[in-house]
Amino acid sequence: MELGERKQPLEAFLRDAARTSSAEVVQARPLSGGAIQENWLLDLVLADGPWEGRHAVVLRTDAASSIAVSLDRAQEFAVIRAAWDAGVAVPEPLWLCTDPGVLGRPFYLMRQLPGVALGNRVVKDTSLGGDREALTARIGGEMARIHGVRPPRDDLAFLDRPDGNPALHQVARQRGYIDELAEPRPALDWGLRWCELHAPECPQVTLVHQDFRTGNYMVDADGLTGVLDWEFAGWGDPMSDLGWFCARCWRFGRDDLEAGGVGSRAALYRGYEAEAGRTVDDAAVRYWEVMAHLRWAVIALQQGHRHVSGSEPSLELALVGRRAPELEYDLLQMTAPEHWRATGEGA
Amino acid sequence: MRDRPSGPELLWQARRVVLDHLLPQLPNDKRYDALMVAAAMATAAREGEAGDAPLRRALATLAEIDGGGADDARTPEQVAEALSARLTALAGAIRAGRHDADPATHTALLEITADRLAEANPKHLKARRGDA
Repeated sequence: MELGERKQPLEAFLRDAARTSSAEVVQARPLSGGAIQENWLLDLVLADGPWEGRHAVVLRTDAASSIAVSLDRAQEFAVIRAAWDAGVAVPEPLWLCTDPGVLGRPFYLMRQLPGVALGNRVVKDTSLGGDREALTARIGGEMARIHGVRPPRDDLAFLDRPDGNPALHQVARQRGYIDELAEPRPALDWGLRWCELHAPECPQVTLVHQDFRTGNYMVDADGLTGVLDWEFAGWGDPMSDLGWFCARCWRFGRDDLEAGGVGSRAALYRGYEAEAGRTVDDAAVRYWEVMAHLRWAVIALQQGHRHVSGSEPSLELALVGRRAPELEYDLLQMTAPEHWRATGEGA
Repeated sequence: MRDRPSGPELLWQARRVVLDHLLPQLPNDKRYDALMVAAAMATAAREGEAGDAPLRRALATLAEIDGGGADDARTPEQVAEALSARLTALAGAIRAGRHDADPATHTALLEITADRLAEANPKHLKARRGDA
């Protein structure tokens, strides 16, 4: 797809948004994005006004088909702005356009960050990210800053907020998703039942990223440059972000490096605690690692379903769908009978 | 009886062409597509080789933990249908708390999942079994 005839309306929008007499998109290049969004890298020249000069910016819009559970672009923009204001390393949010007349779909622009995000590369190429333990501690610190954002917030009122215990809320959600797929997955129900019986208390609901893992942050040669992919953000248990990050399914083959395949769990916790001023609840993090396998398995099945249903034929989606048994197998190992607390009552 | 080479034999050989002859000629941005094609062919070939044996095995395993006697499923369609019914029933019973921490159920689920993994990602299965 080319920017083509959309270049002119985009430049007109940018003139207004950036309060400049002339905005020129010198170059536009599609970025390989996620399965949900379509991203463009723009080389932008603004003639004058507060942003006068040349800028490398990323334009993010909805792809032709998107999944309903994720935030729309206007919501995502508000979350990134809240994170930016809280001091989290995120791409600087610039301008949002909700008028479908410009590109046909809402979009926003943010400053391009230098670096690499690709999970496999970040894990394997140790010339990236600087000192790995320092990187891991820094990631813990960024999470703590995210979790400093607390409800209620008028600007984030659209975010999903758990009704009662966040873990039980998540159990109910995942059951709902499985039922929508209309394909029995008893291994997932086994894991969900375990999650239902072992749900940790959550003393404080906070903003949670819900997809903070290796592959969704950028690093350059020196360290972290920013946290990306905020479309699953919501209110929840802050320990869930640490669990998602540490889950074995997100270590890209480096099982020994428990924090996302890049560093030690201790470094992550240390960085978190230094920033948050609170201790990490290790048992809760480990609980959320089990839940991470569940969530990822359900997402994989949903992706596969997009192919199987015929709505979006894609080999990539099809293959992701077939990854569900990997997650189910690991889930079953983590929830073996010896890992169930005696509940003292039957059905 | 069908002619040889069989479907899986054709797929394995076609996959060698993709990996050995086409992949080295491809520009970098197309390599991922070729690797996905090769992965899909391997899964399809393994499924073809296994036939419906894993489904029949799953059915027998589930009948055992259910204690309700074996299913009278003969054709592949009957097997698929009976298996779907068993899986649905088990999923509901687990959700209702009737299999909490039950070792037999856990073993059955591991076996069924391992059979699926053997087709979709045998490397993962091997790595995890190496853990145990």
